[in-house]
Amino acid sequence: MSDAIRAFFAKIRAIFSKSEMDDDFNQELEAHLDLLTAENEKAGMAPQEARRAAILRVGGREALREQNRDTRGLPFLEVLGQDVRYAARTLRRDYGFAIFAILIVGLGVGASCTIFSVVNTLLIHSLPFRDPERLAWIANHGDATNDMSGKTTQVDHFLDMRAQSQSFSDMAAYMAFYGVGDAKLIGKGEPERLTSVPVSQNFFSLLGVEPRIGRQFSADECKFNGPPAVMLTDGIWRRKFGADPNIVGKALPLDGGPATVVGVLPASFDFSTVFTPGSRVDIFQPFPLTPETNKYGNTLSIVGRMKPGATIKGAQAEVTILANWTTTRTKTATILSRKCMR
Amino acid sequence: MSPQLEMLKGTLDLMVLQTLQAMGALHGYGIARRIEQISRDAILLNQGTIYASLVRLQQRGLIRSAWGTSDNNRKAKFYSITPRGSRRLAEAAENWEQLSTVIARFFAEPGEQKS
Repeated sequence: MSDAIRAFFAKIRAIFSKSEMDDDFNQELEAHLDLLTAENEKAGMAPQEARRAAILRVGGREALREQNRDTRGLPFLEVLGQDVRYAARTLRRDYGFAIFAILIVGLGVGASCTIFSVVNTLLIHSLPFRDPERLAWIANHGDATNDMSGKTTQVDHFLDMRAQSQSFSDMAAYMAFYGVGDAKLIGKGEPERLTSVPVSQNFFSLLGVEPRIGRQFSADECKFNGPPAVMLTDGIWRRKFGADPNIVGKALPLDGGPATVVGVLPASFDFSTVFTPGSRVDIFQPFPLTPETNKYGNTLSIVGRMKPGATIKGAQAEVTILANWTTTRTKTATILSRKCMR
Repeated sequence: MSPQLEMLKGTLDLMVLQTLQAMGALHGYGIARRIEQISRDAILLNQGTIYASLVRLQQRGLIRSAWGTSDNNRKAKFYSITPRGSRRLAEAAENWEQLSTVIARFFAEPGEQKS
């Protein structure tokens, strides 16, 4: 062990045996003075004079004690420790202010973290999906009310656009009106509220997300009233199911009836930071694109994958035309069906 | 009293080690006296400063200390050199000799004197 390391540990030890070492040094200094005084007396000085000369010769006792403390310990660390203790005492004396200050700092840190996590995902990092530059968000914005119904799309419109679009190789959607905490996990232990997002069958494959275990939703499961199926996020798989590698195929006891776990999504897939910052999503269920769900009205938030070579401008123009076309078409269809009913 | 010498950094530690090597166990006062004697009072310590040096050397494990009784029956702390201290002293002595030889050579060089 090198001298420096040895000395360092000795200094640390010295911090914790302060009073013993102070006593030790005082005794040593007294002994030194006594020896010197005795010698001075032998040389013919009067006892008092001898003592005084000895003190002069050895140096100021306070200064020497100080020097001894500084040499044997870590003065920097000790001063730091004193400052921390002083700060703690001051805060305790005025604890109302201290609590207030801590809360303010906590709020500040929390808010900064939240904002940063959003900025980080949206602006700094590219989206954690395959070829993110070819993904596009498709939403209505002709509606000035800014509520979600004005931004989302009805199933038939979605199917029309998907079928007719030349700029997009595919479109996928999730049901934007999912309820936070609406899926209740029952069964063993305490019931837990989970947030479940219904997605179209091709949602994950369009984004380029492969389940870490299991598979995507099957066509059968995406039929209306098809066999209930769920995919788990990595978070809930670890937290609730202890990262069980055999989870696929097991039934998840939800309050709407058991649903089979068909896959677990990778940790890198984080739905909420991309689509709904600030919330947590636990499971995904299939959203059927059928006449039944069409009746729900505007429900879908759409993501499209542009064909190679397609530009966002071209895609925008095309989608605008398609949207107008499908709206007119559906209106006509509605009027026709009403006429028939008369 | 002869004029005081300005001490180089680390020289006091070296003197203390050499003193303990030569004299065996000594208390702080003894070490201070010995250094003054050997230096023929060219080095006149504020004798208390010896203790900072003793703390440094002890923390590096080059010397050890134990309480004992002095010649005139006074309780005192005695210091002695450790094997590790002896090794370090030998290295330092060699280094010191080489350095002083080189320095001496520099001053011995006659050079061109301006008249």
